[in-house]
Amino acid sequence: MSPQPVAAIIGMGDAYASLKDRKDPMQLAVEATYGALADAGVGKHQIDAVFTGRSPWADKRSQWSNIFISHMQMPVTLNSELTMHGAGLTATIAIASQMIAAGRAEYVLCLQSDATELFVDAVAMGAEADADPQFEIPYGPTIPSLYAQAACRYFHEYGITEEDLADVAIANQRWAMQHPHAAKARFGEIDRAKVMASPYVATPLRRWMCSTWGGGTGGALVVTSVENARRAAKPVYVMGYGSASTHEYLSDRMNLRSCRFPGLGALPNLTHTATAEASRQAFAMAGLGHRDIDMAQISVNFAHMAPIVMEDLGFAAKGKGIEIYREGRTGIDGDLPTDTNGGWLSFGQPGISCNMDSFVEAIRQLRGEALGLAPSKRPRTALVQGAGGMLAAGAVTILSTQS
Amino acid sequence: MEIHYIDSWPQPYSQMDAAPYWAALQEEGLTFQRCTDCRETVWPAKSHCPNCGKRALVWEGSKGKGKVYSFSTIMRGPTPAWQAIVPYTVGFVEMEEGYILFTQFDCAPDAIKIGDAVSVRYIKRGEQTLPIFGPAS
Repeated sequence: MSPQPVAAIIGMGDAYASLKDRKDPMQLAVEATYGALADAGVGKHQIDAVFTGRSPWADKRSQWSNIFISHMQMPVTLNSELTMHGAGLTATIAIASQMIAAGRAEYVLCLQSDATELFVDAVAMGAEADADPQFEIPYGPTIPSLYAQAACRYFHEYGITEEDLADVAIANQRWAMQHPHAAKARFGEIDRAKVMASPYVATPLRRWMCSTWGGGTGGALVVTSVENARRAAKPVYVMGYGSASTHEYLSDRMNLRSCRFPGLGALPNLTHTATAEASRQAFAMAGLGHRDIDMAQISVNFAHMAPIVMEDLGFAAKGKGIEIYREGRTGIDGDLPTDTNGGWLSFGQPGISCNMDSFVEAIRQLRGEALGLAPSKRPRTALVQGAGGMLAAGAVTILSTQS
Repeated sequence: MEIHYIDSWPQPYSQMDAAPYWAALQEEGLTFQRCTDCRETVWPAKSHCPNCGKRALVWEGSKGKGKVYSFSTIMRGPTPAWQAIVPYTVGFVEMEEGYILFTQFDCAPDAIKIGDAVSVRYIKRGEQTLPIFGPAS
């Protein structure tokens, strides 16, 4: 049987903020939502359900999805936040698809926005948000230093070096240089020497191996049935999805003795993530193989996560993910253009909305509406992977312009 | 959740399961849990054994020895108090008893590698004594 879509995205809206053009998370969400509704040709009264990831860093009110529908004066049958950090947002498409398949919704709105650096001291907030307040925070960890634990082990177990990670930063920066909203675009082209000369943030991660915050973004998607999508102008079909969540705090992950997901590998380890299981589910559901994927938008907040995620997705064996970058496969002429807006490393992470930025970029590229560079061969399929927390959760969505 | 600071140091957001752990540390004792049913070591502190599900956990004293599993030296601290002591190193220690503990390493940044034998020492931050690790004595 040929692959069959399970739902479709028929509307997409995006919004951007910067230090010179400040907007708060609610403003970004509203702007993106009206964009998505207009794009889909549906009214807000037709939206049956609204899903978001967790509340924005720049507006940490809980029940943020309630606050949003309240602000919009948009009563719905169900609204909620998927709290698996950034992966929760990526997984909103799964929940939307399930409601639609169950006949409980015709149109579902998935959205996220944030503008961290415009409103809060993210460095101070960072560890408090994601480290264990009982057993980790008393030792002063930062988010880079927690991700660096994985880098430390990845180097040790697979012989990866800082120079290897520089190649990831270089590849992503090439895309970002041409994107109007990429936070690091202004720095221009970089090389290994430039990356290796940048100071350590937390060893072995140097500044160019770390994401930056970068302005504000909002994105909204209108999801509906495949049948409805046949009347839409530019539908993007959801072919498959998957997700997994293994812990909240790294201390819990380190002491996990067994796991139902084989993709997590022999425990303990910090070199396999929930993305491996999410990917397995998504590919199985889509009925597609890795060679069918024309483009990827993945979560690379620190450079070592690029090869680790590529491996977890099944594009390379463990320890070999860096070869995808080294061989130029993620570039404009490559067979797997990846992070085509510069990715989290160079586009930046405006906050929790970075996972939505990956969807926005995938959909713009699939529709031929890229704001920056487009791959030399127009992609027809895209894989969007969203990770969240301290290696805590992963979600994968496979999209296609073909039904 | 609000983290409580004393003298600019974040105090543990103490949960009831771990009250004996924090109390023992005030006397410079490092403890962990063991399940009396399945014999597994258990960390972080819980009320039921995550391995067998039994409510059979007891506190035992640790020898305070282990090996470095992973580490990272922080060059940019999260708050002024931490920024004042950079560079400092945090990471995981594989304890001899079979659990893995997040901690700070009391040694020069370039004097640490995976597999190094380390042992516990104590430091008081605010009102809480914390276990940190340095080269095995």
